[in-house]
Parts: sequence; structure tokens; C-alpha cells
Amino acid sequence: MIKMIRAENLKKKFREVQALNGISFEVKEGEIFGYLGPNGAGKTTTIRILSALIRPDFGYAEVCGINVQENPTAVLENIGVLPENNALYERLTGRENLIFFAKAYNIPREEANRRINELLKFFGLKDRADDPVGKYSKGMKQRLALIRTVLHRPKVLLLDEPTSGLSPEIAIRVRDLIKKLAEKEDVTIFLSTHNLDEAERLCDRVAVIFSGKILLIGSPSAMEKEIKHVIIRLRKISEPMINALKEKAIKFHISGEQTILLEVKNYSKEVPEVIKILVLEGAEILSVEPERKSLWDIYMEAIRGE
Amino acid sequence: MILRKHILEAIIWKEWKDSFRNKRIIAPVILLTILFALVFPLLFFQVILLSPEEIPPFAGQLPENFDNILLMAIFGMFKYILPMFLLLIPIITAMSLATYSFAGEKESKTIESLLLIPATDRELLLAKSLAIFIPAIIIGWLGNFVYLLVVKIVIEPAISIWMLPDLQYVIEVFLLGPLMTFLTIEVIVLVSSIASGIREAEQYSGIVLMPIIIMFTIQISGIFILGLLEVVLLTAITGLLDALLLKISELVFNREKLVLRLEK
Repeated sequence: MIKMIRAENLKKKFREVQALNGISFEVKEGEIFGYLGPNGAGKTTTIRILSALIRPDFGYAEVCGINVQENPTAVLENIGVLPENNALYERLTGRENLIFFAKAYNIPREEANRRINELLKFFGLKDRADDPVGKYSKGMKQRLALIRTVLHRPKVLLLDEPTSGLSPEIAIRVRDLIKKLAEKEDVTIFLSTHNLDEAERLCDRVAVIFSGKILLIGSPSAMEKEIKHVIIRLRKISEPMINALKEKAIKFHISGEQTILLEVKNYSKEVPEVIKILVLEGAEILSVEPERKSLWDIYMEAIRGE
Repeated sequence: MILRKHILEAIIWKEWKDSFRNKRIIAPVILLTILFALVFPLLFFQVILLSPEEIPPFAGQLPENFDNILLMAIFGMFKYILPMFLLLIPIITAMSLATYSFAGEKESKTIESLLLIPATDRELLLAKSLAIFIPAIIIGWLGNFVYLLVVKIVIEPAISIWMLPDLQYVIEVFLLGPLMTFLTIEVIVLVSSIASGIREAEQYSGIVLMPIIIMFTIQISGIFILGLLEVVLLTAITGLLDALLLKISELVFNREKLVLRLEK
């Protein structure tokens, strides 16, 4: 699989703040890669390095196989970037904003008009295309900024907090559009977000970044397979059962009169052992269910561990 | 490094669309041109006719056959002083456009999307400068055309002397004016890299006007009048300064600083 983005040991310091502290990751072709972290974690700095707006103090960045520091213009020709603020020209109409970018990317006029109309329709902005952007709502501006980002058919999209500041219903719509866009345009997407739900819904893989360091990388589905705890429901929990579990140094919590929350590291080994202990103490087991970790649990564990 | 036409055209197109819809730019430029090219010359003419004794002592610097103080005053004012004053039209137009163009992009945070188009620093700077330079020069020439009409229709028939255009005037309009306008743009590019907004850039860039205002004050007080030689010298110095500042502005242009200043 071709690697569309490659970052190796990127470091960047702004005065006393170490914004990036040795970031490394790779994004494969066609992948939606989530870059998850709280505000100030280093997400925007990474996007700005990948889009040649700022230079790293140390490390190497490559997009579409092109060295970002050595050939920034070639990188910019192959990527579409949605900055954190949509950065649209408010006195220009929506269509004029797009024409400007079509001209800058040297798209022939007829093709540009066709593409602009197609995208305006796809993003539901066709009726307002000739209004000044200053009159657009926040959601409309964000959709227009997304059109601008994909107008020149880039191979890689760098989206910085695409739903930040949007109302929940508009955020859902923008998310759906990103998903559809990834399918329709066949692009690789690097999506920076602090929204776990967004990362979970959209991304093939996510990296958790905190204080300029990547804490973990993996696919949300693989991460979520990890078991948080096992819920054992009994007819009634008795004192001897609790004592027997304590004797075997098993970690657990009691929830109400019927439920034991079991902390396990090795499900197949530990759970049968616990069930055996409980049965020997006369327990009537109603159900045994593993509860898997959510992305939220994994994210919080990673950040707390730092 | 090759300059790509489509990049230059795109930026110039966008700049014009954006600037000419901005009433804060257009209104003062139109008002200034009418005042400097039409109202002030006619007003000066009336003042001279009413009180010629108040006119500065040009006697030592005007043609020898001038023994009529009234003629002398009109000649000095319309041939030497006001054409210099008209240089302010393209310069102030450029100031107005340039502060909005550079500091304005920072203030409205659109600079990030501009820096994300595949343009080199040189293409960005040149396109932005041309987008300001071309209209400023056209407006300046338009102002001079109106001024020439005033001179030809009102002033020259009144004193029966041919005054303009002459070589000095042609140099002022077609060389000195454009070079000073370009200098103004370069100064504002530099100023905008340190200013965080339009107001701050306007305050800093006011410094560009100082030499012109000083020259105008010196001339109107009658201390000194710029003749052909002085104008040629001034044009050469401005041209050198243009080349120097162009180089400096290219060196000073820093994408990272521009982007990071957005967060301040």
C-alpha cells in the first residue's frame, strides 16, 4: 500500500512551548486517518508542517512522496487543506471564492465551471452560490470551504477540526459529507479533531496526540476490542463469594446486589477461573458479558497515563 | 524562477474583486482624486487671483521675463507645485489598497488560505503588488488627465502661456509617480509583516507620505522649486530605493511568521 503521508520524528518549538516532540506516523492511500487530541496538543502545528506553512525544527515530512521542506509548491498542488478557520473571502460570492482557487490551480475555465456546479450541488449550496460569503451561516461557510479544499481533485486532504464550532446537526451533516466525499473522490484524508465520536465514525485509524507526542495509533475497531471489564450478574452476591475472590487477589468491583465488575487482563484464562470460584461458593450465575473499551476510554487512559 | 501567469492572474483577479467592493477603499480614493485634480487647482487659482501678494516668492527661480507677480504665482503653482502634489493620488491610493491587501488579509484571517495555493513567495508578492500598482497608477493618470484639462481649459487661456505638459511633467507622471507608488507598496509589504492589523499598518505606512509632504511644503513656502534636474535625480533615487526594498521585502516575507501572527 502506498504511503501518502509520512512524518518522521517531527519536532517544533514556539518560544518556550514544545508544540511537537518527535511525532512519527504514516497514512496509507485511501485511508481516513484521525488525529485525535485536545486543544493545544499539536494537531494544527502538524497540519501546518504537512502543508508547508511552517518548517519543523527537526524531522522529516513527506506528502504524496514529495519532501515538504524541499518542494512546498509541488506538495500544495497535490493537497487540499481546510484550515481551522475557514479563511474565505467574505466580500466575494461563494462561486467567486471557488473561481479564485480554480484559477490558482490552473483548472481550465469550462472544467472549473462544471466542477464548481457539481460540487455546489453535492454540498447543497447551489442556490446560494452567487451570494456574498459574508451572508452565509457558519455551516454554509464550512461546506464552501470543503468545496474549495477538494476543487482541484487533490490526492490528500488535510482537514483541521472540520466540525469545530458547528451546531450538532450541521456537524453531523458535514461529517456525512466528508464520508461521502472520501468515497466519491477517492482521496486520503488526514482529519484532525478533538471529537471522539467523529473519529470513531469516520476514521480507519486514529492517532492520539497529547502535549506534542503521539500516545497511540490504531484502528478504532481494533482498539475497542480491548476488554474494559467483564460484567458477571448473579442471583445474589454473598460474603463468602467476595472473600473467595479477594483470597485469589482478583480485582473486582461490586455494583448493587447482583453485579460484579471484573477487571481482567487475560479473558480466556481469568474469567473461567472466577466463574469456578463463584460456583464453588454457591453462586447462581445469570450472565457473563465482556464490556469492551470505547474510544473514549482508550483516549482518556492514554492522556491520563501521560 | 519562472513566474506562472495563471497564479498572477488568479491573485490579481481576486484582489480586484475584493478591493473594489470595499467602500472604505473606494470612497476615499474617488474623493481624493476629485479634490486633488479638480477642486484644489481651481481653488488655488481663485485664491491667487484674489490675493497675489500672499503667493510665495518664486521670483528668483522663474523665467527672467516674468515681471508680473500674478503670472509668476500662477505659473509657479500650476507648473511646478501642483503636479508634485498630484503624486499623492497614486501613492495614497496604493496605501489604501495595500494596507487592506496585506494587513487586511491577516486581520480577516484569509492569509492562511492564500498561502495554501501553490504559489511561490515571489509570485505572491508580485501578484499582490501588481494588483495594487495597476489601479493606483491608472487612478493617478486619470487625476493628471483631469488636472491637465483644468490647466488647458481654465488656467492657460487666462494667462496666455503654455505650461503643460513639458518634459519634467512627463517624467513626474510616467516615471517618478509610478516609482514612488511602487516604493509605497514595498514599504507597506514590510510594514504589514510587523503590523497585526489594518489600523496599525496605516499608522506605520503614513511615513511614506512624509517626503512628499516635506517637498510640497518647501516648494509652497518658496524656499526651493524642483526643476527638471532635481526631478530626474529624485526619480533615479526612487528607482534605486525600489530595487533595494523589493529585495528586502522578498527576504523579509516569511510564511511562518504570517501564519503564526494570526493567533496573536
